[in-house]
Amino acid sequence: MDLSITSLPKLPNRFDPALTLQSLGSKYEWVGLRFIQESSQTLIAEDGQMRAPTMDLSRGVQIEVRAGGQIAYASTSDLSPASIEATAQQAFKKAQLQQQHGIELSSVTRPAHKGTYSTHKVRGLDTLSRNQIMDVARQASSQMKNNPLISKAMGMVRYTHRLQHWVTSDGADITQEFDLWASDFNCIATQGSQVERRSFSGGQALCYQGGSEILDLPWILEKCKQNQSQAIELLSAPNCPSKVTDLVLAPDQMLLQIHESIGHPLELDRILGDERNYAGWSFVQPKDFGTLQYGSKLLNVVFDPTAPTGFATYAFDDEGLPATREYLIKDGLLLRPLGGAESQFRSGLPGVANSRTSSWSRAPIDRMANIDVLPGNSTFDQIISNVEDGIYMISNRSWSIDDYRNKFQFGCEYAREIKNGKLGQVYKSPNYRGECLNFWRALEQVGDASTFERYGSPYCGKGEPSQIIRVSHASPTCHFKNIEIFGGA
Amino acid sequence: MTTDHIRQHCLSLSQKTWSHLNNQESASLNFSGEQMSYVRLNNSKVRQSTDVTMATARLVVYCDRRTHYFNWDLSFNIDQDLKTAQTFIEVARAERPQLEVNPEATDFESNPEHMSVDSDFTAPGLAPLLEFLSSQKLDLAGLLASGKFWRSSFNSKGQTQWFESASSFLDYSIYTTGPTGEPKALKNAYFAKHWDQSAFELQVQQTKNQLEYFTKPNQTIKPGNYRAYLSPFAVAEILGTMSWGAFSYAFYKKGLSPLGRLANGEAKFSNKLNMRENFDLNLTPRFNSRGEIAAKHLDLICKGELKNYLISSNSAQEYKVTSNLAEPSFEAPRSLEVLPGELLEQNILTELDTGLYLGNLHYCNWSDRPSARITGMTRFGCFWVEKGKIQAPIADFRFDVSLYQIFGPEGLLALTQKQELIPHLDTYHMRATGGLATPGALIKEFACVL
Repeated sequence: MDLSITSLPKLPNRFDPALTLQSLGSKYEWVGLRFIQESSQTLIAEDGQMRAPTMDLSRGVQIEVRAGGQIAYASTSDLSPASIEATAQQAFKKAQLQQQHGIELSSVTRPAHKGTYSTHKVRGLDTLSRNQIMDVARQASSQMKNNPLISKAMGMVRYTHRLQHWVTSDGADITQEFDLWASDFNCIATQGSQVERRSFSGGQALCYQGGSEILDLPWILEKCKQNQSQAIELLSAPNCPSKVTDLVLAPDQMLLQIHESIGHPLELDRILGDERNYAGWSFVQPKDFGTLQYGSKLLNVVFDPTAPTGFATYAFDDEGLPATREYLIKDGLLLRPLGGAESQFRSGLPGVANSRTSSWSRAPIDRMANIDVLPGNSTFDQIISNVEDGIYMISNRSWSIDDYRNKFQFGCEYAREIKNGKLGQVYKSPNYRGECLNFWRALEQVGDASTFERYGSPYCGKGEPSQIIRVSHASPTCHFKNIEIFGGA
Repeated sequence: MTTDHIRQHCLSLSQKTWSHLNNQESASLNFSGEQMSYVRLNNSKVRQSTDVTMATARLVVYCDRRTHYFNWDLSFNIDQDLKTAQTFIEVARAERPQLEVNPEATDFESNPEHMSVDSDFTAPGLAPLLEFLSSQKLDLAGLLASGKFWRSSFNSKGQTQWFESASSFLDYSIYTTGPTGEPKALKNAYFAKHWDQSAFELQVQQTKNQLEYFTKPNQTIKPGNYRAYLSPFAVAEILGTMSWGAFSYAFYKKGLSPLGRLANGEAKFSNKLNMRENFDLNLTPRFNSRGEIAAKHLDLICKGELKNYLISSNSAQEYKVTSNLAEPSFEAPRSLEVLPGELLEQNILTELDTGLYLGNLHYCNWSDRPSARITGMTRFGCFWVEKGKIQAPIADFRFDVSLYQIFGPEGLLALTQKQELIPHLDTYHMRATGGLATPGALIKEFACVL
């Protein structure tokens, strides 16, 4: 039996937030109702054979109630009228309790827009079956396993459909539907006690919105072939040397570099201190916007929720702000933080539409979405040819940064020496470390559009209570001067 | 809705679900959930509050060495939830012929019944708590979580297990400003089944009083190796990173275990180091997601030698070894205990003599798994000590250090006699259960790299 991915799982009766709101609207100063339904299918093959398929179905409602200038949230997956009524009352009582000791908010933090969004799909999903997806996972893992030095190969594809519908008592009505793909293809090469792992662009970095065009099997198989040969190369490669040198980063490592050392420090809720007890604060101060030279003149960074295939592309954030592309850093100068309507009100700074919630059970907070470094003018060959002595690192495998988002250390899966403008020796266990502003100010060359690639992650963790959300980062290949690199032991 | 009602709903749903299985199929239904009140605080004020009622069901359908997993949020409408379960069973049945044998798939057994309902608790009064914080003029950030939570495991072979508890915690940090304007902070947590406002206030005041340590300017630590004392909370961060694969038998078999060199006899830990799973800590139920009840105690490292990896039934099936009933989804410790040593608390600073007192670490991650190297940052409550006396707070630094340096025969100088019981306070998806108990550790060399 061949099951279509769009017909599974069979969902319970559709919930109508607008109708439900009618029964609540008149009882409160302001009430918002956020319905979120997310269904995922995860299909994993190891060494050409399917493992246990997984389906997830999350479905619930979050009710926001404003009382005396304070907003409180209550959430439930029980969508019966009595439960909705009780949940709204819970939120109302909490909002009342907060009035003496809550951070001041404003009614402008929930603009009453109407609109819709759905993922841009080049090809539809109606004819795509679970069997076809399983075959992608099977073939990808078989392709990588097809060598005696490969001890394990894995292919994983997850498709998620997310529907969210937000209505408020003052007329906001926003429906957004997302078709989301996250994939991972990796293999382990073993020779004696030597073990090396190589993945396709780092763990689950292939994260996109789109239709069935996302599953481009010939391209995936070609990349898996490369994975296999590079994993085997690493078995006989020496450790990355320790020195200060020029560093060229591939877009699939720029993913993490952007995320940790631009995305998080610019989140306005961090700058305002909300996150201090958990993920941390930020070295960026409110006065830095418009004045701080964050990177070299070559650094241009945008918040772009309009990128067609971005994992975090949307039309409105979860406070109802219309999402538009904005420069965060232009010619190296810091311009704008990542803060939604509440954070903008609290700080008096401009921001972006980035207040997002991971699920119906969590309140929206400032999150990254698609944060991209814009292309420059150098081809890949030009970048390499301009490096006398350096290293080229690909695909993230380790990451750590301090709670102010300053001192970082990253490890990659694979590296090549750069000598006299040419790629040379393969190195295993390449790592580098640095401090945020010094690093971005050392940006020496930026790749052109031919080097520009988009990746993402399903797993950005933040918040109290904690939330995991989807992010996306696109970047060209980038060259940095005088960076400390080192290898394994 | 009461938790009694939720428990009855889950029991009823599981019984009705089994009737939709055919003779060849078996299945398990696990439920986890919470009725929790979360209040996020910044500058001692409420930033956001969220009350949550959620219950997640996990249906695992097994037949002929093939397995399907289905997770969904319960609607609490029995007809609707049963229809969802029934649909999932039909999906598994329809798709099974296209699946290859799954080498780790194992049928269920009926494990002994477990019923533990201890949901009596005293929640904090939000108003008095906020009034107290306001009166102290504290710059406090943190999370208050208070409520009931449950984990359960039923299967079609007759297994019935339910664990339900309730408690509250305030996980917080208090901020001040150092003499040159730099922000400094101390971290603490108050955890209680029955909230005692007086005890809570005392703890907060004691933490506040310790901010005096920050009246001196930061001392910058240059890259190099330093003698160091890691508080139990700092050790817990290291142990947390070890949960990412260090004890997993599946990781070992794939060649990815950071303890591979220890297992193969190529590297050693100090004979002072003893680690075990100890469910007497009472932080989490002994049954895993398959309902298997682990032994109360399982030695992992004895006198510095690796005694056991954690082996789930799935790994046991795949690698043809005996399971020690670890959690199949991650093979990580659920109730880890590092056994105490002999260093008395009052002697910590004198035994450290000159070096680093590290209260907390942050954002640890493996930097090189084969050599068991971990990188991370110092964070709250870290000081420079000379001749047994705290001299100054330190500017946070990055470390990159191997477990064989921290716990090696020459590296681990002493463990404290006093252990700290540290419950997991994670709230991803829902409040975590579990935790660990560990002493602090005196270390010969701790590597500052940036």
